[in-house]
Amino acid sequence: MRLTGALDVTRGLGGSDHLCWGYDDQAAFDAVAVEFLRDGLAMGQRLSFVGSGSPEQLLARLEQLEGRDELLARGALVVADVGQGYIGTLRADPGQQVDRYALEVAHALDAGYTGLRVAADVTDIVLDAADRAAFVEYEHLIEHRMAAGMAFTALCAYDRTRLGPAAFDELACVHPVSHGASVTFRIHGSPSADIALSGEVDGLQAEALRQAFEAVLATVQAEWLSIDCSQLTFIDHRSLLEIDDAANRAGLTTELHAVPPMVRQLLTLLDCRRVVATP
Amino acid sequence: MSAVDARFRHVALVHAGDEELVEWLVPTVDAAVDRGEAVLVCLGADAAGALADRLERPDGVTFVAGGERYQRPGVAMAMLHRFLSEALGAGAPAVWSIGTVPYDGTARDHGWTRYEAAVDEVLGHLPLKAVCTHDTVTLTPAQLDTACHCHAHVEHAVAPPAGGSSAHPAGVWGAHPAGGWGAAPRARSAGPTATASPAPHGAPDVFLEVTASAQVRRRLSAAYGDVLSPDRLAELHLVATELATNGLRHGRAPVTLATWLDDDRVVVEVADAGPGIDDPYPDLRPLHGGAHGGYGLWLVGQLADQVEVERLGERTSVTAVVPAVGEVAASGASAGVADADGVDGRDDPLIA
Repeated sequence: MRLTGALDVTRGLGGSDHLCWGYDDQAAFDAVAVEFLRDGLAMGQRLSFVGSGSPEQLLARLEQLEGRDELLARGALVVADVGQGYIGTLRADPGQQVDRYALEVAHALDAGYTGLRVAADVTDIVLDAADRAAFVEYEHLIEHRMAAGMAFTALCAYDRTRLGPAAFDELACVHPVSHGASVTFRIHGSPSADIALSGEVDGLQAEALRQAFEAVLATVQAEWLSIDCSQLTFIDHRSLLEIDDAANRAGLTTELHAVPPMVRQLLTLLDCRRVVATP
Repeated sequence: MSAVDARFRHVALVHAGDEELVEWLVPTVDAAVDRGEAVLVCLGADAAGALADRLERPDGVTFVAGGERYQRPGVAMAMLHRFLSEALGAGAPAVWSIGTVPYDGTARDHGWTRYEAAVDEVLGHLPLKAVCTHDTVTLTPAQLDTACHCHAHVEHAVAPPAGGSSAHPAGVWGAHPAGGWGAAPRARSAGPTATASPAPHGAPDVFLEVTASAQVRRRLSAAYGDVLSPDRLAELHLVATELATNGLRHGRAPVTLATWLDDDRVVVEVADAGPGIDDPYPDLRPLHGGAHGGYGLWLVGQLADQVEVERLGERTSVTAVVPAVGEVAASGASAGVADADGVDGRDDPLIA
């Protein structure tokens, strides 16, 4: 089972875990990124480090990684400028980057690795609101693949001091695991439904929830959206109304799976037309 | 078909036993049905059965079990709102609500007197005839007095003997209730909003300054997780979250939350330094779909047996009483209340 929730360390992640890390100090982030990559090495994964700058600058951020140069030489570690990958294509088609990672994962598996592990500091490509929206869409798409068992472990890092807390929260809430976010809910992939809504959500986060939901719904073509709520520990009336509203605007019906009796009672009381619940 | 009187009326009907009640209701309800008015009857099973047997057209009346309607004030009011809106929407010229409000001599009674006041305040502009029945066989004189005091009109099913002891003026509806509503309304007493908060006097089990609702739920879980069933705890979480969120959104810091487990109920009080809530009955207003405001306290009213909005000095408090009947184990969770030592105990973050 994939990890969900808030996390204060980058160690112990595996499989298809997907962690969002907000940092205020880049050097401190680089240190935990190395810890994250070290775990991957032990698991036989190919490592990738993505950030802004030349290969030399990026490698300098991994100084603490034992055997860095040897790993690089034999292809067990790659570094890439964020500008070479995501940027440019994201706004046009966020799905392209997903395909690119899927291909890299396939190459890693072909080369005998157990999978691909990427630590990516992508602050520079999400500073603009439109770029951020495209990135959120990309996160939803990759989450869908990761929840289905893609051999891909990811750490997405953002400099909160440059991004600001609200913009960071927009990104944090579309990851199953996050660090440094003030939002307590998460929308991410699920092995049993179209998406999962996990954590806690109340009326004070309604704006963030609406925004996140609209971004998800923009990626959905169907008339039904199933939502796995097995890791949802609390939801208030306002949040349910936001989901109902967003679904109504998108012309679809949402089906909440694995919700407690209280949520079903709430939906009845509120007379939500676009949200149905199953135990 | 006789003429429809579309004026609002809210009457306490005093009767001795079901027979008197049914005797009084039959001509009233038959006439109302005859005029095309919608009738909602929420009585005990025996009285409802006897009434249905005697009516000319019982299928013209909506019967709902009294226990279902009067679970709690918010539920009773929401059901009445729905019935009114559907009946008036369908073209009924007037609507009758006939029911037995369950006064039982406990603290819950205050919630019902507040409900009665809200009926006047919230529905007074509608063509509603609300008849609250009060049985002298089952109510104590004190309960009867409480119940009658929150009605502008008191009607006796059978006129009390001349020179009798009844404190209530009889015959406001005339010899036949459908015939006239003439008498002047009696003055109400101080009114339910004047009474005190249901919060116990002892130190609360939980007291905190609220900055986020998640912290509220964590503290409540820590205090009551071993005492309440998961479903009750979920209900408590929702009520406390709605109150706290309401305080944070509409009130002014500091927003504080205090809770007490007290016998068979949990009392939740959220206070803030804001100017207060204009509406004394935010939990009893009709729910309007669409907009995102105004649901929180309405929802609290659907789950809490009692809701009070009060001004305490410079602070505004909303208190809700969540039922926990049969759930309170012999644990130390209520020790905080028993331990009250004269100080308000609010320095202690968690007594339970």
